[in-house]
Amino acid sequence: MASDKRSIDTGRIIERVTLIALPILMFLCVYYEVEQTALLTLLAAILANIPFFINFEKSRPKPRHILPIVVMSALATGGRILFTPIPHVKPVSAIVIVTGIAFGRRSGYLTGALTALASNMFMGQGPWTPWQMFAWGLIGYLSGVMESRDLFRNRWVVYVYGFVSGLLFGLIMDSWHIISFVSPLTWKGALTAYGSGFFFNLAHSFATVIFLVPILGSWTRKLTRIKHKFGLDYSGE
Amino acid sequence: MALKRYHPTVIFLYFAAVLLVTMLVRHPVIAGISFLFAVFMRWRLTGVVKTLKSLLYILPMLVFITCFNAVANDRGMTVLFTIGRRSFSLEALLYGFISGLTLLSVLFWFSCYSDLMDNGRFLAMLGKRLPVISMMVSMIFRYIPDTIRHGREIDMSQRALLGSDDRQRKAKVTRAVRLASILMAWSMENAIETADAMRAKGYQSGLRRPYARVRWMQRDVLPVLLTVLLTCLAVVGIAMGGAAFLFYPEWYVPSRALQGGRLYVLVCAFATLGALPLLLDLGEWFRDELCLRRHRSSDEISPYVAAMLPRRHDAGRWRLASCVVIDERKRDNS
Repeated sequence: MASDKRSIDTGRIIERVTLIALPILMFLCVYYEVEQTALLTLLAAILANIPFFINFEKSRPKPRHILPIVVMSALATGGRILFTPIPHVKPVSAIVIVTGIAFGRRSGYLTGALTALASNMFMGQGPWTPWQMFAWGLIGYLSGVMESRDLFRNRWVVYVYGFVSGLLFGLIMDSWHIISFVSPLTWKGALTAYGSGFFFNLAHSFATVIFLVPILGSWTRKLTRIKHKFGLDYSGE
Repeated sequence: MALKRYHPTVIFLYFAAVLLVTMLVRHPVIAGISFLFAVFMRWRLTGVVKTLKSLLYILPMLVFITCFNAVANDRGMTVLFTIGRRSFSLEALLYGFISGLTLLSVLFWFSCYSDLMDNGRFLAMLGKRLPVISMMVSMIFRYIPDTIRHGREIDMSQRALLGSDDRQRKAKVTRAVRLASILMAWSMENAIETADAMRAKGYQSGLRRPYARVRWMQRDVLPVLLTVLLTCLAVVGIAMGGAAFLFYPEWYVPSRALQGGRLYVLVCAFATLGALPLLLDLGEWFRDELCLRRHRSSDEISPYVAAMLPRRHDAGRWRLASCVVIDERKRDNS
């Protein structure tokens, strides 16, 4: 059992390192004014998703592990398509957060990343796809981490997390354009650029909270019940 | 477009190569070539109207990036004009324009890629390396219409049970929330049953095959080789300093870029890479022409031969029985 835990931990360390490495790389690119920032950071965003996918493949997941993620992603994708007419209002983050709470960090990450990949097959792929995969994956992953640390006891903490996650998503999405296509980047310029997108991100934040309020309690309860009913085991998460 | 009929890896590799060179450097000539070929390709794929529409949609972005860069930084010697205390330099505008052009080309190349590669073929390619992930994506696709159908069913039975009360907004919202919750629980339970059925039917006990028939063929070799060769040439050109271009403080082309014609090699290689789909089209057209010319001498073409002939755009020139066959093929392909 102890050695089992150890082997899971190495995978976890790799995942955490990737999650932290991307922002560090972006910062370094800006700091040293690298000409290839656009290419490097895009490649890094693609690569950041790989460890999670590989780890999941390597664990040879059983269908009972796969299907809940698929269902949550399908619901999130459907919700995103349903809400296309209203820009920046989408239930994806809320659903990803709930998945992270109920099924753990890895399922949270995969739900976020796969939702981004699948929904962009409808809405159009672009250089934003790996960033969205990373951003939504990170939101699900962090929500799983917070839940395992017992920080989500109070529902208001989840709402605050939902609000912050909307801003985080915006920060990640805006960064690629800003750091790769504005040069030389000054603090003032960066703030202006982020500020111009701030209200859209704020809309996303509020939308996430509004979606979280009705689904958080009921969905978490139902998912926990399903976990118990079918004896789904997420202790490895 | 001939490229569409090649192996997905060929398509993927081609776009990866073009994007690599486009994003690797910030150079006016490279950005210009990339943008022109991207627009040209989009025009050939989707027609004039759509291309113009997306250009119209995307050009404000170029203006925005150009202006933003000029506002955000004050490097550059050649001051064009001053507004208040801020001076706008030619160099900052130029840099903004070139980087905007690069971004636009990236977006255009991506949309061309989406037009060429359908989802089935993408998943088939993904399934080679990540079989579970690619299966999950295709299952998500399959679940979406299912979920919509279930949602309708729930809605109908809820209306029948509780009556429909659409006048109040609050009631409407409550109903939507309840519907989503029921939908989630139902889909989840169904999914667990599906999972058990998958296990019972021997999931993971053998190979899975993709829906799209993807096969590596001899004709796929040439474009891959050309792509790799041209990309290597371009990257070596860049590494040798062929793409050196200084924007600040005053724009100029350093001598090391022109030394030994490095810049020209780079530009030629990249332009050929951009024109590669066009060249493939030309090659195919040439082959068609040869093939048809060989059969033109005989009065009658057997339907078997006609069926094997590549489609022609002006098949009507030969008033032969086989033309019907050719026309049908043309209709199928369009």
